[in-house]
Amino acid sequence: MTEALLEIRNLHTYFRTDEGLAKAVNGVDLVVPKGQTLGLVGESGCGKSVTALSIIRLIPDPPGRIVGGEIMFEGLDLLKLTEPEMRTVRGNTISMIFQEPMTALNPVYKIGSQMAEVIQLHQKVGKAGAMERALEMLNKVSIADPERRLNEYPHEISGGMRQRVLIAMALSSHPKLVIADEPTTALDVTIQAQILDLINVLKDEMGTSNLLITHDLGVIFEMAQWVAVMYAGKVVEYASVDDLFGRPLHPYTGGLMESIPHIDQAVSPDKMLKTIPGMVPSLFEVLEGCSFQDRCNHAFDRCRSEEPHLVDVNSGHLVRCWLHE
Amino acid sequence: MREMEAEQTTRVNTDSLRYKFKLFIKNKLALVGLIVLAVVFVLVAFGPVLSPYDAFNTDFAVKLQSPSSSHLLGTDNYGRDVLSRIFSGARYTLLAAVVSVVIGLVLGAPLGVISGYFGGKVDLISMRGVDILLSFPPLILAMAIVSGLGPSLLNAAVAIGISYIPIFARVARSRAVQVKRMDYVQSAIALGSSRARIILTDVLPNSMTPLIVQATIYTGYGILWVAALSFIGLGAKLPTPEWGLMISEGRQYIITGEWWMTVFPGLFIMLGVIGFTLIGDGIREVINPRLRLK
Repeated sequence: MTEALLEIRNLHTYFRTDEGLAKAVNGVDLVVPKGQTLGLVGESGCGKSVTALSIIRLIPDPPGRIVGGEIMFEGLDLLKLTEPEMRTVRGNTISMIFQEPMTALNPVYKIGSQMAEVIQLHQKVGKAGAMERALEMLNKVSIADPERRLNEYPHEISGGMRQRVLIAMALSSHPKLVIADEPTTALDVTIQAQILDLINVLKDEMGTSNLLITHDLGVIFEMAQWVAVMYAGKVVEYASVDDLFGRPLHPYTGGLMESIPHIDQAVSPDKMLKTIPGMVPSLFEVLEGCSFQDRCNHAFDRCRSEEPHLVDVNSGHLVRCWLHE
Repeated sequence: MREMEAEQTTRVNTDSLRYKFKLFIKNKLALVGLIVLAVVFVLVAFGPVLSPYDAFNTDFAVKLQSPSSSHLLGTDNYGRDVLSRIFSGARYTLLAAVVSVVIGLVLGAPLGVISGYFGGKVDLISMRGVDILLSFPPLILAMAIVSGLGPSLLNAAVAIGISYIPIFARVARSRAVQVKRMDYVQSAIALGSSRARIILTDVLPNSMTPLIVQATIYTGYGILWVAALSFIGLGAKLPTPEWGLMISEGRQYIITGEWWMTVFPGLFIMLGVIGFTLIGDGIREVINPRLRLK
């Protein structure tokens, strides 16, 4: 495995709610290797986005709080930085691309001035220089007619273009890490492929590392070199893409893969698409043992009494399951 | 119906200003408001020029004359032409109303935006202050403030402006609470903007629309309150042809039959208030499409 750019150790992010303490992220460990893409996958509510927001410390407090762990970025623990120090990291060395391109741009400013503002925030350039750089970035994300876009308002361009603008903004300061939180969920399918392709091309061109959050295993297969599977606030499996798709070890990962429809297999009434039975445990429940026990076909006594640890079973293939201890 | 067809044939950009202006003009009442306002602004700008007589020129030979061809709206107890006084006085009443709104907006809006954006203790403390101001009827509060500052037109405007602060603060706060949850604010934080920058470039500009509606409507009320303060002697001083003061001067002549001294300035006050209110409603309707569906 190559050198780590970002390493999360035992991260805990909790939310205080009326129903009690919600342990959204409950001991996450993962590594984003330099120059590569780590896919973070899991179903809704498993803590993917909270993990991402914890990295750039955007957890709304109250009600949320990062209560423990370390987020090591180039030898620096991001959780120990002061707020002004953190501001020089955000958008500069770590950038984020959000899920909703339709609403992530300020509606009252033109694209050009919004981009220039972000550029001037992190680079010592004048207004004209910033505009030039904005144009250069729009070219890089292959937007049609970039000069015109600079003078347009966000409502005048399409969703796909807005996402390109947001990517251009996120990359304008040459960040080392780009966090993309379901960057294509809100876009239609043809545009999705284009945007994912663009993120990949820019990653290689600019030498960034990506943390790609998605619930789509297909996207992971296309985009990532490494995968972390999250379940109920924890990483349950971490492996290279080849290892994970070749030999999924955790029963949950196996279930996820079986629930993907295959184009070459007819879905007939007697041969239904497989799903994982049951529901994600509530974030408030204090479950003894493994959090997947109720939905797992292989669960045995130990799973109900003792929580498994994330162990390396095959040079870099980590899994949190008693079956593989 | 015509609107639907238009949307089918050419893609209408509902965000563009031109489209919004078209919608605004379609609303008959808003159009009436716009015309009234245009008239009022012409009076503010060119009132003395348009006046047939000097508004301050007394002539006892023609005192208390009823409306006639030489004095369209009659003359007052000093023989001054009422129409000329109304024309020349428009700027006093209007400017005082505008000054009061500017004061309310400039002090109230930032207070509300900061309060709404930060929330928590900041919000709690500043909004309780606003509640205290709001618990007085605005005119009573304004009267108390003018009594402290001493009666003059400017002080009346300042007093009304202060009583406007809670109104604008409330509106700005409610909007800021919504805006701060918007994705573009999150995105700005993620790209490294500081709080001050986010308030100035994201929250404040995106909170402006309801404030503009509010400002328009309260300019109308401002006319009324400036006139009211002048009427009770806490605003403009004699012989300023301020509309409220004119009503005050004329009130003792109503029972003796010289009604034109009070009725005509009153009508102009009404016109001004209605004009601004209609425009405010018109803008509100354009901004909020839900009000448009009838």
